[in-house]
Amino acid sequence: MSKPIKISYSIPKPDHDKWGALLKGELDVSLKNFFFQMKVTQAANQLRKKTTTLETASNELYKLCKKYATAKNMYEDLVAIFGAESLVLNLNDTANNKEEASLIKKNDSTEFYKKAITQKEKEIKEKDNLILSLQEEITLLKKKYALLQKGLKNIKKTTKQKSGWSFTNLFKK
Amino acid sequence: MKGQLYTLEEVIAFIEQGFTISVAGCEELLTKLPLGNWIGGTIPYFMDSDKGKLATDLIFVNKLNTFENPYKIASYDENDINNIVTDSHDNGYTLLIIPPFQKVHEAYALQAEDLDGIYNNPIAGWIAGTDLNSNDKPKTFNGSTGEVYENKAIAMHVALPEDKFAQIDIINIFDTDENADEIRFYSDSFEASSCMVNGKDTNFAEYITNNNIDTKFPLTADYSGASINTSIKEVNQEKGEVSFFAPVFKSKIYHFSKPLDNYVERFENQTKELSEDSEFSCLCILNYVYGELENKTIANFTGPATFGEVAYVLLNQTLVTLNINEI
Repeated sequence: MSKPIKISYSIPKPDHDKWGALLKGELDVSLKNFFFQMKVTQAANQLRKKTTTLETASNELYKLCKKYATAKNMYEDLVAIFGAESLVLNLNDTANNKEEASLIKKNDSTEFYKKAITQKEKEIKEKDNLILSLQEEITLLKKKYALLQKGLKNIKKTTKQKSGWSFTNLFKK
Repeated sequence: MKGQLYTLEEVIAFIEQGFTISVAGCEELLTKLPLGNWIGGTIPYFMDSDKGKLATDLIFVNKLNTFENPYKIASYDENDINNIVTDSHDNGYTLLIIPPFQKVHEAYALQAEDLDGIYNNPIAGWIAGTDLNSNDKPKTFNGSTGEVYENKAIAMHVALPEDKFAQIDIINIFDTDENADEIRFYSDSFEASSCMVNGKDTNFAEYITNNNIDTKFPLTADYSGASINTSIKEVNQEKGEVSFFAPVFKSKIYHFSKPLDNYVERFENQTKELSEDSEFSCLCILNYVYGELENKTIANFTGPATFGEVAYVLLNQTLVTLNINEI
């Protein structure tokens, strides 16, 4: 099975104007990632109190955003700040094989994503088929189990009638 | 959900098998646990998978995945709690349990949000507590040494492999009432007498009484989009003072939150998307009590109902989860 598709992207460098604007409260954005919300609040406070510089704060924020780039809502938050066009998708990191890498090299990302979707659909279908066959197997096993139970009951009944003792009585002894 | 209630015997078996765990339960039970890879704190209120309950005969366990990486357990008082940041691993997370109303609680609550490096790795955890009808003292436990504390916080610093990172999420069911008065306080503190309401000097206790404010609903402040609650502990009319379960900060603007009709419904609307594999989760005892969560369930959530939550900083009336994700 191929490795999961991960979308990685490059984040605008710390000297991008928007980092400063964000920290100075000049952007009208409501962030969604909890870490990002708290870190931006801290850095903005430190800037107000002049216990840090804009350069240091932007560097720290950039570094941590890189670490948490794939965290929930982080991409959306960065899009809200910088715009989607500023977040360059690193498609090479997402390639599963040579063919995909070659498509990406050709900058044919549309083709790449089409292929990725087809691949995922294929995987879903395979898993669906597997579930179906397992369900069939379970049904068969249940039938076999019921037959065995029935057979065992008949044996017990016959044995008791013939010899006058039962399995239960045997264990009691 | 990964976390759930177990019998004492089951928890002893986990420890003896070498599991790294975080536990929550009554002092009587926790003192019976053998030495091992665990930290713990007292609390008898839980949201288990079947229902919310007060349980004095069971222990809540979160089995932690350390990915066979090193972890360390450390205790902190008010003088060294700030070391919690430098003691953590380069990539990992910290689980923290703090005894309430002690100096270490106050120190962490007041200083955490300004600590350099606090956001480098998630710090998640809770404030220990007791049965609300008892006079017991909340305690924290260092399972590796057998030490029990009334006045020290206990932390487990877990390292993660390079391809993983930990992430904290919070669920706050309260919405800021933007039409409510704007409240500012004069100092960073767990108590307040005077404050500014819409720019006018006002006694906060009188303000709450005169306006018939229901203190079941917390004050909220905006942290770049995150709504952070501060719950009212007591309104003392005689002294003209109000005390809080977490500090108010002079740099923040506060509003009372909008009243809620249905706690469970509000939680369920937001917990639907929670991961079932949370490494750790907890919620506030005030949500448990005010929301009458005993005998009720919340979708995708189990955990202790605590005297406060830690999600980097001290929170109130919030649900906190910690998850491990792939980079």
